[in-house]
Parts: sequence; C-alpha cells; structure tokens
Amino acid sequence: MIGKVAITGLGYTEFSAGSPGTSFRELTYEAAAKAYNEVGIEPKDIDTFVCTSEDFCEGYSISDEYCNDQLGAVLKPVQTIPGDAIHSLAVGTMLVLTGQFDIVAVQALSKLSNMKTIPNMVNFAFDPILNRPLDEHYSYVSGLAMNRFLHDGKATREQCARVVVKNRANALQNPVAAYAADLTLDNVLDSEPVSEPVRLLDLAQVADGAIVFVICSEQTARSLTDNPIWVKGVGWSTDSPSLESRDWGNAVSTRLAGDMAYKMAGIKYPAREIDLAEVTDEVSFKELEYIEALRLFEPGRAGLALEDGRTTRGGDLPVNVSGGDLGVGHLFEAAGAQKLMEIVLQLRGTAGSRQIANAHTGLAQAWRGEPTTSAAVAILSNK
Amino acid sequence: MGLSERIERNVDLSYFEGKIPVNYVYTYGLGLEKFFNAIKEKGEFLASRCPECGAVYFPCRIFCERCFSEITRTFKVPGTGTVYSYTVCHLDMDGSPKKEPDVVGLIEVDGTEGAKFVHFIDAKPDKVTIGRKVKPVLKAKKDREGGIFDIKGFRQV
Ligand SMILES: [Zn+2]
Repeated sequence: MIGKVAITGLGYTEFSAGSPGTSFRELTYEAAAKAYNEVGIEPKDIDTFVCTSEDFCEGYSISDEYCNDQLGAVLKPVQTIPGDAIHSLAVGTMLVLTGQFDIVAVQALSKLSNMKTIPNMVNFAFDPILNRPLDEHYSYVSGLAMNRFLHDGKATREQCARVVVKNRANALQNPVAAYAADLTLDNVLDSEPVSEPVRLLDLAQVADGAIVFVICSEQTARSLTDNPIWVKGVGWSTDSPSLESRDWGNAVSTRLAGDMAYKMAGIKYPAREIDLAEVTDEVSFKELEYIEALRLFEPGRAGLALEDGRTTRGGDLPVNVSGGDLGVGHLFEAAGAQKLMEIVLQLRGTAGSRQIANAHTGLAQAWRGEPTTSAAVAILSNK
Repeated sequence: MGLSERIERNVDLSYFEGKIPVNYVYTYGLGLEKFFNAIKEKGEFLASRCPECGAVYFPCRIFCERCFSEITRTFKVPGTGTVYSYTVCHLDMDGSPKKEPDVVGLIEVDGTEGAKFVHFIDAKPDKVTIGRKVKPVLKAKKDREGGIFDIKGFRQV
C-alpha cells in the first residue's frame, strides 16, 4: 500500500441480545466518545466520518441522514456505506491516503433488537419475481449451500457443529460477548431444525452494539498513540446477486477479496504469515468455507485443522478467538467492525484472558449475510 | 441516567411501536417477460446464450453479467434438471414454524451448462437426494398467470 494508515482509537459498547435502555444513536455516542477519548481528540479534530448503515435496519429509510449527530459530525463531511464495516474501513483508509484527510472516524452499529420482523426485512433483499414469492425464511439459502458443502465432502456435519462449540466457548473469555456458552456437539446436532441441514444452533443470533475506530496517517498516528495498528491491505468483492447464476460452493468473492488484500499487504503465504483470523461464522459451516477460500488452509483441510485444535485459541492459527458471530452475536453491517476490533485488541496485546501470544498480523473478513455475496477483508499488523 | 447505568430490563422503558408500509410494482423487464410468456402460452422454457463468451442464462436475459455483451437470442431447453442441492425448510418467511416442512431445491437446469433454478421439490424430505433428475410441473394452461407459480414445483423422476 502507498503510504501508511493506522487504527489509533477504538471505542465499543458491550454486545447484548437487547439494549432497551439505549437508543441506536446513544449506542454510537458511547462508542464514539470512548474512541475519541482513547486518543485524546474531539470531533473538531476529525476531518471526515465514514458510517455504516443499511436502510430499514434502524427503522428509517435514508438511514444515513441519521448517522452524524451521535458522532459529533453535524456540518462535517460525512458519508455512509451500505455494506459491511470492513468496506467502511477500506473507504476511510483511502480517504487518508488521498492526503486530504488526516484523521477519519469509522462507525458501525447494530440495534437489530428493535426490529420485530427481521426475516421480512431480509426477504425484501431477495429477487421479488423469482425468489421472494416462495415465502421461505431467508436461511433456506444457507441450507442449500450447506447441504451441497457437506455433499461435496468439504467438511463433516460434526465438524460444522464443532465450529459452534469452539466459538461459543471462545466467547466465555470475551467480557462483551452476548452468547458465550459451554455447549456439546450433541447440543448443536440435536437443536431445532431450521433449514436443514442448518439447525438453530448453527445460526448466529442477533445482537446490539456499536463500534467506532479512529484512523489516521502515519505521522499523526505516532503522535496520538504508542501502539498504532497498521492497515496493511483491504479487499472486497461481490458475486452475482442472482441465486440462478452465482457460483455456489466456492466462496469466490471472499477468495478475491482476500487475494486483493494480500496483494496490497505484500503477503505471499497467508497460512504462514497470518497469526490469527476473524471470519464470518454467521452460519457454522461458513467459517470452514471461508478459511479455505482465504488460503489459510488447504482445500478440504479446514475441518481437520479444527479437529486437531489448530484453529482454537491455543492453536497455530486461531480463528474467531473473540467468539465470532456465533459467540459475540450477529451484528449485521457491524459484523466486520467486531472482527476488526478483535484483531486490534489482539495486536495491541490487550485482549485479556483470550490474548494470543506473539500475534503480529491478523486478518478480518466479513460476509454481508444472506442473500448477499459481498465479502470484505482487511489485513492489520502491529509492525 | 448515565450511559454506565444502562437498563437491561424492558419494563418501565418507553418506546414507540412503528411500522413501515412499503408497496411496490416490480417490472419484469424484457428477459423475464419473454421467459414467463413462453411458459404461460406454450409451456416452454427459454434460456439465452451470450454470443461473445458463451455463458448461458436461465431464465433468459438480455445482457451477459460476465462479459457485459448484449444477448438478443433465446433457445428452448426442456426445463428438466438435476437436484444440485436441497434444504428442508421449517420456518415461514416471517420466522414462524410451518405445520409441514417444505423442500426447496436448487436445480441445475439441463442444457444450460450449470445455470441454477430455485423452486419447491414436491416430495417428502427423506425421499429427496442430490443428483436426482427432476422435471417441472406446470399449472393447467387456463390457470397460468405469467409468474413463478405457473411452475408448481419440480418432481423427482
Ligand atoms: Zn458474455
């Protein structure tokens, strides 16, 4: 990457199944105040703001108009990304690289507990003529993908359940996670069928929370903090929106997003150069699919790596130490922000009881969720 | 109250319950108009092939998503296919449980070099297998309306 960009400030709320006492703007305000305080800045010091917001999620259309006041961004240059928070980090990074903006705030939020009809909203994202009339819960797309994934022998059903057990147990060490639990494989395999082979415990449950990052140029980063976390590479990609013509079963958009980020970061051997990864596990099998698509494990080996403990907290390539979407909670467009946050905490060495020893380079990947094919990847480093 | 005193219980908290009614007219466009007309009028299934890169689309389309070329011609395919994947669905669109589960199939459509089609498979969940041949079941001609449910679903053969 030309020039260096660092994440300096980080602020976040806890993640919880509900936040009835706090409005969505107050959640962001809490995260923003913490992020700014961490590096001793005020909104007047921030040159531009990048928010992440999907229409309807917070109960507004044109929801981006309601992103600025809680960040201290009224009458400041603001833009909103209707994608994942890793897309927003990519945009914020590019803004710094223009040389026109020295300090940028990047925000993401989930207040999905306020939405009483989440499946209806997600179904509004399906093709209205071909797919939506089927009137099925959106997880059917995951059911179709997972059944073929298992049929092709990419992992076993038990290995998928093991992802859930691992990640929800990981969340026990994360004080802000919403769904920490000590589960058995049978708990997962015997849970209620949803879109078989997908069962209830294969699916991440919705959580609320907000995350704000302060990112800036190298010179400013060094003046604001002793432990800047460098954005080494970003990448993003989207396959066809059509269920009829997309590439089922190869996670191509994640592969391409990863390759773009690796190239920018100068990473040639991801499996050796990445110390830890946070990837989408919104549906259990996706973790296994994505860590192969990201070249962290050989094709067909992710399930075995999991069984061998290589992706657990003590393994040689820990995956979703934070607890992932399954353990922390499904944060919709803020999902990628939670993954970035975990990498930042780990690379700073401030991850508490779940700290990974000698972590220098981490990867965050997020998928935008059913029925989309959008993926975004960021590579962060403390060197 | 301060932010550190966040209330976790839903009681005694104020909220306003709202609703966003959104009604819409979805234009089929040239590709889907032709596709559904052929089913409605003749019980035929139309695909299209990109003249530049050879990619095949089902339902037929007027542009290629891979090479951006315009596609002007369609061709008939039998409408039969193979079960590429399927899922047993226990929830309705709104998340409520169904009385009987539905089987949704991802059908690889014959003669299309791998194009997929999503529709119901009319079979008991334990009778469906990946790789089985399927054929579409159409409504009687007089009942067809030019939409996805002119195809009632697919049946294993
Ligand atoms: Zn073409």
